[in-house]
Parts: sequence; structure tokens; C-alpha cells
Amino acid sequence: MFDHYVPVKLNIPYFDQSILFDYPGESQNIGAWNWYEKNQDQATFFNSSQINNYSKDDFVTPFVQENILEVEEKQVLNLIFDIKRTSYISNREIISRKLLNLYFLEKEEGLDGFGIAIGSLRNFYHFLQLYSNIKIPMISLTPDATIYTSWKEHDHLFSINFLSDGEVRFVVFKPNDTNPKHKIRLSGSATADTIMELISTQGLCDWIFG
Amino acid sequence: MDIRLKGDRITDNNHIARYCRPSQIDNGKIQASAFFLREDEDGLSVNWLDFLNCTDRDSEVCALKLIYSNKFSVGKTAKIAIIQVGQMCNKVRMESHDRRNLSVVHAPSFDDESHSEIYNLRPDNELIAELILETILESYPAR
Repeated sequence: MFDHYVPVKLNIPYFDQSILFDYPGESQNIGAWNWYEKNQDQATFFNSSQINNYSKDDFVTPFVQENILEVEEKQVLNLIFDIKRTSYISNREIISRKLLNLYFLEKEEGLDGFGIAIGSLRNFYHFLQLYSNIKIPMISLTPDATIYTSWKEHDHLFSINFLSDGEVRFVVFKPNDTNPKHKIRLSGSATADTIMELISTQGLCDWIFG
Repeated sequence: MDIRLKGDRITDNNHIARYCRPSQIDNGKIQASAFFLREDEDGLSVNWLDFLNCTDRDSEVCALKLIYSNKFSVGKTAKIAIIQVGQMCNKVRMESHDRRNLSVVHAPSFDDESHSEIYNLRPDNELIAELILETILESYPAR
């Protein structure tokens, strides 16, 4: 079933490494995702120091009680799955895959914390629900584990830092059509439900929305 | 900490390197989040490349990889961003709202003599980080 061990692994009966290794390459293991969505209480995670103590056959049973997830870690994963399941978010598959990848990258580095700040993830999900046809952004994590998204097209930039308290901080770079030697640079703070109203006057909507 | 109590200020003609974690990279491209401070930080950690006294950039990158691997676990897809101090400071000064003056100060540690820090990234870290991002000269895999 498994060809090799990975630093962080989801222990489910139909799992192969495709969820962790196939992004951004081949397709994810749909069976693994579907199993996890129905059996989240039974899923356990292994860290890299424990993984090598188990042989292949140990992963056949889904009920190995080792390194049970913290509640907030499960909340993060559940929220990522919620994004994936929200049918009206147009790019939900790729966005949720990016988030899951970021979550596991942080866990792989062995840092304390939950991978992604849950408040930031809620804030980002709220934004996606409001602006469901948004184009796929670049997504990264700040050192405080908040989600940072960027849309770039030619010499236009729109970036948002989704803070855990419901606020967002944003940056806009765009050409100055009146004075082409100069650029327009804006930054500020708002909330997810007001940010687009603020920037709609900046002519960004054409290239941010799909 | 008062930066006047730290080491020498690194001048404009020097180069620095920033370790960018895998979670600060998307689709192979370094994101501005690589230049954000943690909530409890005042200075952004970088390495003073010229201090390494190597013959060329490849040697500098090798030296950095060794430093990183001795200090922490290097992510498989982590990158090193190379920046010239003067280009970074000039761009931020000219294009930030408040004509921000960044300071790059040598701050050696027991396990990293080339360690340095960039100060004055706050407030408006997001805007400053995006400006710094535009000054990256080149990037290399960190391992």
C-alpha cells in the first residue's frame, strides 16, 4: 500500500502518499479524502520520529491510537475540507489543496502550533464565501501562521494578509496611467466583507475575478 | 533593543541572503510573507553574504547551506533569496508611504557569524515586504 514513509502521514486504510506528494502534480487520492471526511474521529497522525517504528502492515488498520490530533488541528483540517466541499467556491479544489499542502509543510518543519492559524483560516473562508468566483491566488503563510494571498497580473498586485481577529491588511500596486513613470501603491486594513468594496474603485476587479 | 547597541551597519554595496521557508513559496515563487516579522520580533534575520568572504556566489550559497543545516531543519523546497542592501533600501525609501529607512545591522550569533538583521519593517510590514520582494536579485534552493 505504501511505497515509502513520509514525515507526516494520515493513517487511513486507503491512503497512499498522493495527498502529500502529488501537489501540485498529479491528482489527489479522492478515496483518501472521502474516507477522512466520514471518519475524522478515527484518523491519527504520525510525526517523523514515530513513522519509522512501524512496518507497512501496521497501516492497514485505521484505529492505531498514536499521536492523536489536537482539537484545534482538527478544526483547521475540517475547515479546509469545508472549503473543498463548498460547491459555489469556483476554485475550491485547488485552493483547499494549497492550504492542505501549507498545513503539512508547517507540520513537517516540526514547529509548535497548528500549521495554520484557525482564526486566519476562518477569515479566509469567509472571504471565499463572499467572493466565490475569485481567481486562484498565490497562497503562503506568514511567520505568525496567518494566510497571505497574492494576485499578480503584469504590473498589478493585490495582496491580503488574513489576520486571526477578522481584520485583513492589504496591499495594492498598480500603474499610474496619468504619470507612467510612477506607480500607485496603496495599503491599509479592512475586513473581509468590505475589502472588495474598497478596492473596486481601483479597477482591480477585472483581473481578480474569474 | 536599541540597534545602536548591536553590530555594524551593513553598507549599501553589500549583499544579504534571506532563508525563505517552503510555506512562504508558492509554485516555486517566493512570496512577500518571507519578509514578514513575527509578532515578537523587531529585526528580520538575514545573512551578510560578503562577510562569508567567498570567491563567488556559488561558494556563498554553499556556505549558507552549511550554516542553515547546522542551525535548523531546512525544508526540501526552501529557497535562499539574494538582495543587494542598497537596492533594497533605496526602493523602500523611494516607494513607501513614509520614506522608510531600513537598517541592516550585523548581529552575529554563536552559531552564525554572518547573521544580520533588517530593522524598521514596521508598521505596514505588508507593503514593505512587497517592495523588498521586488528587489530579489536571484534565488537558490536552500538544500
